[in-house]
Amino acid sequence: MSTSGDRAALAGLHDVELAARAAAGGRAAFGELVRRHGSGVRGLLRRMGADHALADDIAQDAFLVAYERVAEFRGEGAYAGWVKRIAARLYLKRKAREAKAALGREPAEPEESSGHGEALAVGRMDLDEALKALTPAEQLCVSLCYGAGLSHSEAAAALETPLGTVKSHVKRGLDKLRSRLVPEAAAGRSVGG
Amino acid sequence: MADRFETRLERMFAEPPWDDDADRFADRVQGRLGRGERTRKLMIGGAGLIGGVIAVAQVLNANLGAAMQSAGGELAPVRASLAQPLQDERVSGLLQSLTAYLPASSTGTEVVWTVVALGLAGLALLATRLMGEV
Repeated sequence: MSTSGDRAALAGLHDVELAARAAAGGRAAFGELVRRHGSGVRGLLRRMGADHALADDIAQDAFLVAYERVAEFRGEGAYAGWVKRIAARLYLKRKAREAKAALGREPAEPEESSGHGEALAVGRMDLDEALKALTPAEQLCVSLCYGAGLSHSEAAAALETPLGTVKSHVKRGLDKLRSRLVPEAAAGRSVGG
Repeated sequence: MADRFETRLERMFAEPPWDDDADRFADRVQGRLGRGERTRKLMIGGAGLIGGVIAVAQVLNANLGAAMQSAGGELAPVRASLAQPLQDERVSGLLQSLTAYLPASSTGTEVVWTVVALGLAGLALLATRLMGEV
C-alpha cells in the first residue's frame, strides 16, 4: 500500500517518469497515472457516445491494457493521448460487437437535436452540451479526431468507414459545434462565404 | 491546417469534463489489476501442481519400486558392514537409526519414491510460482 507521502512524491512526477516506474512494476506510479487521466479518458468515451457505466468500464479496460503495454510508451506523445487512443479503439470494438449482435434488429434512429438550439445559443456554451447537437456519427468522428487525436485516415480505418464519409461527418460536426460554441464566428462565416 | 476554433476544440477536449471520483476510479482499476495478477499466479501455481502430480504418477508407474526392492536387497550387507566394526555406541546408534530408513521392503521403496516425487512436485510448483513473480 502506498502512503500519502509516497502519493505526494508521485504527484510531483511527470507522466513519462511515472510510466517508466510503472513499466518497472511500480503499481503506485501506475495508480497515479490512472488518478491523473482517468477522468479525461472517461470524458472522451462519454463524448463519443458511451453512457456513464460503459465509459467507466471501457476506461478501466483501457488502463489495464495500457499497464500491460506500458513498456511501449516511449513518451513521444502525451500519456493521456496514448491511453485515449487505446480507449477509443476499445470502444469502437465494443460497438462493432454490439452492432453484429444487433444484426436483424430494427436499427435505432439517430436522434436529431433541434429543440435545444436556442437554449445553446444563449449564454456560455459547454462542449458536452454542444456535442449533443451532433448526430452520433458526427459526435463519434469529431471526438475521435479532436479528442483522441486520430487523423481522418486513422479514424476511417478504426471505424472501417470510407475516408470521405469520416471527413464529411467531421465537417458537419465542426460546423454545428462552431455555430453553438462561437455563434458570432459561424454567422460571419456564413455571411462571408 | 487547423484553424483557431479547431485548436480551441482540441483544448476543450483535453480538459477533463468532471473529476468527481478520480481516486475511486483509480482504486477500481488497481483492484482489477490485483485480481488479474492473483488469478495469473494461481493458474501458474495450479499448472505446476498438476504437472507435479502427473510427474509423481509417472514415477510411481515406472516400475521403479521393483528396481529399488532389488537394490534394497543388495543394501543389506552394506548395512551390516557399516554397523559391525564400530565400537562407539553413540556412532553405531546413529548409523542404526539412519540405516533404518533405507528401504528394506517394497512398501518402504514406494514410500521413498513417493516422497522424492512429491519433493519434485513441490520444486516444480515453487519454480512456476517464481516464474510467475518474474
